[in-house]
Amino acid sequence: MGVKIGYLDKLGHPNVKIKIWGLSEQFAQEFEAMIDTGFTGFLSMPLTAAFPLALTLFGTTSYTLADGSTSPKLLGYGTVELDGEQAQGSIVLEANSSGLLLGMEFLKGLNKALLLSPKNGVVLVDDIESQSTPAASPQNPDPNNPPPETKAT
Amino acid sequence: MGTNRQFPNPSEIAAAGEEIYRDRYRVNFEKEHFGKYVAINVRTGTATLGDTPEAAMNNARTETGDGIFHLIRVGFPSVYSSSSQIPYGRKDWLFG
Repeated sequence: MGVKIGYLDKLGHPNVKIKIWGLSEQFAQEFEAMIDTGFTGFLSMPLTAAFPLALTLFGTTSYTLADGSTSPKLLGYGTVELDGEQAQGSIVLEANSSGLLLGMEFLKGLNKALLLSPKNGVVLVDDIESQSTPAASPQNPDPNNPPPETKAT
Repeated sequence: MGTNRQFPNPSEIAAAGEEIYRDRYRVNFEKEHFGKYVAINVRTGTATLGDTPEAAMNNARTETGDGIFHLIRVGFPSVYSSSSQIPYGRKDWLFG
């Protein structure tokens, strides 16, 4: 099982070191990025930091913030490498941020599960298919323990 | 009908893409392609679908070459979202 180690920053946010490039790996640079499980995308990074990486510019897209507001963003495409493993995806280019955010699409792209450990910081392990059956619910009762039948009177 | 004009800044590309989608595609796409991604070529007004953002954009590039594209997720207010209270993504100097 592949294990990647990151760290928790001063605020307790999970961070990892990654390499990013666009058209060719010769443009790769190393960054520290925060893993944000509230972000649905692959990677968000400052526009100015993206210029030297030769990302492919896709066009524009829209991004909804926690307060519900939506704003347009530039959208690029590139490769992210984490400890030798690579994934390609769309990169949101932020004009006024200084930090990099890795989102859920990144974890999906690398097929990783995220664990946060006070001792080890950030641990990324290979994700596995769940073997469990769906949780019981009124719409999906447990077949091994059915609810008692009710009779009309 | 295409809008064969130049776009001086990205906010106009995004606004044009949203307008084209709303006027020409939204009603049908939300019935037939809910959850998929669509790349709108704002130069020609064409729409290209994909199961992922990358697929929609790559398909659009393959079909129409040098278009100017705006990416939308069918049935959703935006392609990407964040539930974090991180102060990124406000209106900025680029989009005004």
